[in-house]
Amino acid sequence: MFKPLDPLLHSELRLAVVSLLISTEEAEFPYIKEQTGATAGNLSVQIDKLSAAGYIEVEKTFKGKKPCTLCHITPVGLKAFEDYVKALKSYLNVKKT
Amino acid sequence: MEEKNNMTAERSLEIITEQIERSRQMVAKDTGLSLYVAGLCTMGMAILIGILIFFTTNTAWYLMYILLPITIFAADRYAKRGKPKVPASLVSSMVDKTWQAFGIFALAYLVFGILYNMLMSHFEQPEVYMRMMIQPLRVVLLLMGITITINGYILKSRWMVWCGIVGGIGGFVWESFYVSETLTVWLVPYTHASYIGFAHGIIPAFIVTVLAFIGLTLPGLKLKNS
Repeated sequence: MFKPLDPLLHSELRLAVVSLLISTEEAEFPYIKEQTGATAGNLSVQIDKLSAAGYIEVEKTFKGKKPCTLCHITPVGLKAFEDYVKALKSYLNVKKT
Repeated sequence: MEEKNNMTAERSLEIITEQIERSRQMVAKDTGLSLYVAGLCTMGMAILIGILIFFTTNTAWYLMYILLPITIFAADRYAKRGKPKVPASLVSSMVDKTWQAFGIFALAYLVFGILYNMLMSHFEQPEVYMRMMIQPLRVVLLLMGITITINGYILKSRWMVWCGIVGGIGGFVWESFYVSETLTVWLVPYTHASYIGFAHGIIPAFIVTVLAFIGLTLPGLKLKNS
């Protein structure tokens, strides 16, 4: 029986962002942009979607005089990611057998 | 990366693995730059202190090592200016914490050793002082070796692990058997005016410089360019 995949995480860019954030305490917007290779506009939209779902928390601060956007994963996001990986495993196990 | 929702399970797994690995590599590069900068600062400081002791024959210049953490911090900030800040991860936090622990213990022991030796040299007879004096360098070298080895394991760098083991134990054995002093006496007679400058300035500076190069600069350069 296949477990349903979270549609919010089942997208290349959103999955890349969450995968990046699970191993860090928090990451700045330019760092995520550099690591995912996404455009600023697209990344901003996807971050808003993840934030609206409560998967990540976005904090707008200042670094000196420059604005700085910090993102970090929430416990809800971490749980969703775990469930997503579990569901993924069920698909991969079926393919192996 | 484009917005695609029709991914296969394999592609999803690939993205997760790729991002985690990329993040690990970024942390390793960032840590490499920090190690490289710390190595250069330590080497520079050791050479400067060695030269100052050689010319003044005053071992109190060792206390300048207290300025080393501030120098490293400032140089690290300068080297990373304008680059996006690499986020703290479990790996980078562990590396930072091990170096912080090394800094606390090494500086505390170094300062205590220097002050203790200065006091003992004033209050005790030379024969008693020679027996009681603390050799801070060997313990600092051992601590440095332990820190480099732990970092090698954290960063999965076999090269760094071996540098730490060889440098730390080698330095400790070297100093425990008074190889530096023996070499100094061999090079400069005990009665010569420049003996103190050599024994307490040039030789320790040389050892610290070599170990900082092997344990910090070289692994740092390797990680930075990986």
